[in-house]
Amino acid sequence: AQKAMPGTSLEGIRPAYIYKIVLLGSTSVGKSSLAYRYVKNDFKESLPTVGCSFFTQTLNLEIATIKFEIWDTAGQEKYHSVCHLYYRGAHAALLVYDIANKETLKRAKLWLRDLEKEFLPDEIVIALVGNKMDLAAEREVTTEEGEEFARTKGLLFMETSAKSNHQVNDTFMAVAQELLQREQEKASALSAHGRSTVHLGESGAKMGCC
Amino acid sequence: LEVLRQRESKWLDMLNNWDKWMAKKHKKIRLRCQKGIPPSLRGRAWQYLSGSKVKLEQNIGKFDVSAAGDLVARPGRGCWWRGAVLGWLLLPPGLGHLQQDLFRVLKAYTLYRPEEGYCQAQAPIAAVLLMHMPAEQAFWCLVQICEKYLPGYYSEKLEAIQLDGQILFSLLHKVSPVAYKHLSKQKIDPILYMTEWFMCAFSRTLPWSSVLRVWDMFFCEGVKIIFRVGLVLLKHTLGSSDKLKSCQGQYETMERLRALSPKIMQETFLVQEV
Repeated sequence: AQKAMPGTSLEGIRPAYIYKIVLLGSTSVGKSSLAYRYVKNDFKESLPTVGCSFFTQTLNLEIATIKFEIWDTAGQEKYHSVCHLYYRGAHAALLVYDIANKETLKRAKLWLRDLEKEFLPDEIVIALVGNKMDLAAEREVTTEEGEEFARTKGLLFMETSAKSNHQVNDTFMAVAQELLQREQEKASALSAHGRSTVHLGESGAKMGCC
Repeated sequence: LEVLRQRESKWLDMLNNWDKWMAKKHKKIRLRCQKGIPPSLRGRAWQYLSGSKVKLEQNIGKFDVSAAGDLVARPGRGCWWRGAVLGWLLLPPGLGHLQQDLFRVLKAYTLYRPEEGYCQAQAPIAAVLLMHMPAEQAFWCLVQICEKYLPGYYSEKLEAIQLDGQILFSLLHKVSPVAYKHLSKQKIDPILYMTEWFMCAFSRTLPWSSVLRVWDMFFCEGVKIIFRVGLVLLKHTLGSSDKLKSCQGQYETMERLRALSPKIMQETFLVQEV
């Protein structure tokens, strides 16, 4: 996006984006644990979230620097009526379910319906995440089932384990890549309309400086 | 220590002549609650203040029936009691034995008010109670909190908490216009920061000694104490342009409100401000 002058200190300059990413899903599916694993690379049994908790993580990628602001929400159904307040303005959402609990996938589908009401398809990146791969022996949702649902709805899909650190990083990375790709598509779509100096960050994400 | 002994005997006198004190010298009780209830008598005092003692006497045996009842199993493993069982982690080390009681109290409540259902925020409340009284007493105290002190907080849709969020916000306008303006500008709905404060009556927010002092006043004066604590925290976190410098974005503000400065949560400071 930005031209760097070879041999000067400007060479390392990449665009920087800040993205709000929200974790949604039933109670006890591991939302907080996923966030904790991703940010602290550790696992601990966490208390049920009341309201919301927050994490940040910065990614230094080749083409950009990304700061994730992670909003980890309470999963209990009681909080459902206030949840739109949490995901308002989000750039990405992880819909988390527990592969050993079929009910939680159903709930994830309901979350998706809510998101679809709130956002246009190109406004938000949504990933379906089947957590608790470490409980594969008690699995109630097959990989194919999750995959198939994600495919029909155009969602990213990943099976993870926050406990055994399986694909947690990859999930967030996939979301990051998708977000960046969308930025690029938006930028090129705009420049195709004759505006050649469009800044990458204008469409949604705040622009910062690295 | 001398002061403590004196307070204890004053409180003993009050508890032994409770009806008389309540009828005639309520102001004095309030003042003594503000000064802090002596730890040895706190559990008893809370039961008197909340009226749970009377409630228990009117319902002898009911807790045991509820606690022994069966919950209709919910589908899947993620059933509600996991939250309750994990709730004991809140307790300081060495109190793990309370876990079983916590489970019984919360289960009994769920069966006592099946239409309301269990709310995860009730676990920390019940845990604080259990550290001061036996399970049956804690149960009726929880009933009082859920029905008299914070009615509707734990029911479906959280309407009561949303309403109180709006009230808190309009009070903030008076108490700290700077903080009010900042939160308005960033479009931060009260629900985003006050849910845990109010639903857990600050038991998951404040340091332990402050929780106890706040609860002493809360049991005497009711929910307005929770409002006042909330306002103090907001005012001292977001109440001056200096403090706002590092809270430019919505996220930074939320983060700040999640990780409050220990100074303003400290017992003496907080109680004085409230």
